[in-house]
Amino acid sequence: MRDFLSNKYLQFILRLIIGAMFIYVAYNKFINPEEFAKAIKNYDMLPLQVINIMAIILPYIELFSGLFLILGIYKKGSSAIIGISLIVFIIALTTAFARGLNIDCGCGFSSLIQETASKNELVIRIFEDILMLLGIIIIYMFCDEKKIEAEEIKENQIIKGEI
Amino acid sequence: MKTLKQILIILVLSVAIGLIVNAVNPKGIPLVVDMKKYSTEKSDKLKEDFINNPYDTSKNDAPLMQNPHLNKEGFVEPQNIKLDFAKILFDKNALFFDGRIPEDYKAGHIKGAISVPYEEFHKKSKEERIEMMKGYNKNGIIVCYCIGGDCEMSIDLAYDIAKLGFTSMNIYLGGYKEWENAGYPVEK
Repeated sequence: MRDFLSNKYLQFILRLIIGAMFIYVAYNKFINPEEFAKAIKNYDMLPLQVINIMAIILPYIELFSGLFLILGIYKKGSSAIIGISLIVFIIALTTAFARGLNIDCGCGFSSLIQETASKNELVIRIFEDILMLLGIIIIYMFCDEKKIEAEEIKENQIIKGEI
Repeated sequence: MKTLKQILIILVLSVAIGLIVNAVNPKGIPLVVDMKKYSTEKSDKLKEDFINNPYDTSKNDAPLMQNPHLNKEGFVEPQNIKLDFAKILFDKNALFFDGRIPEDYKAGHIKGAISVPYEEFHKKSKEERIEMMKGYNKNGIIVCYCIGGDCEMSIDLAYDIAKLGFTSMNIYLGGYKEWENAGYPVEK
């Protein structure tokens, strides 16, 4: 199982899917920061004073995390940021669902279909985010596995005096 | 430790690029929300003026209630009003526009309000918007509302209509929720 999860092809596919998803979602947000600021406001979770600064910075955090994840730069850091973002999205979407809000969450593939999320769409988006969270946990935990293994083997060889 | 360092680098990079792009982007937004947009401080003064000079707002020769000065963008800015003034205008037959989606409107709305869903309205071209608003008096008082709380559809709808040359647009920020809770007339 460990071998499978740390398989470089699986790791790459997961990084590609999640990274691309984050870049796509970020793109939609930074081409129209005003709309995104409104979307954040609709969640009714943040004080008005910080909404715009969040709307300005968040898309770039998503963009760079997604980009770095695909390129394999700072894999631990970018997957940690994406993981935290997904947890925040899941909490925000679940609360919105529980409060019966009609929101444009600007997240997930289903946002391609419709701008305003109905209750069923919110459930789909929550499900999508949970799936991505699972993927990102696999990336975070196993992305350096082969490297660690190689280092361990090297260390053992040094100890045994083989090198 | 290594992960934290990487997170920090990504965050610093994002903040820097985000701020730079926003500064040069013509669609950029101010760093802090303009709180004036949500202020109802003028509501009491407008109410006072209206009480001193009441008229039936449904009549076509209704005088301007507000200062008709155009702003920099060339339209009269809508005013935010509170529940008490909204009720006075309601009693004087002012037009109420419900900016929510039709399903919400059907579930309950301020009595006599007209459904003008913001999302649909905003998607229309300027010509289509003018066509839709053709039957309404440009100087008559119109009150836009949505659900209330942090709902912005009332604000956006009022601005979209004001940009067509309507001079007495008002935004009732308390919205349907506050109106219904106050026990004022609704239709379901």
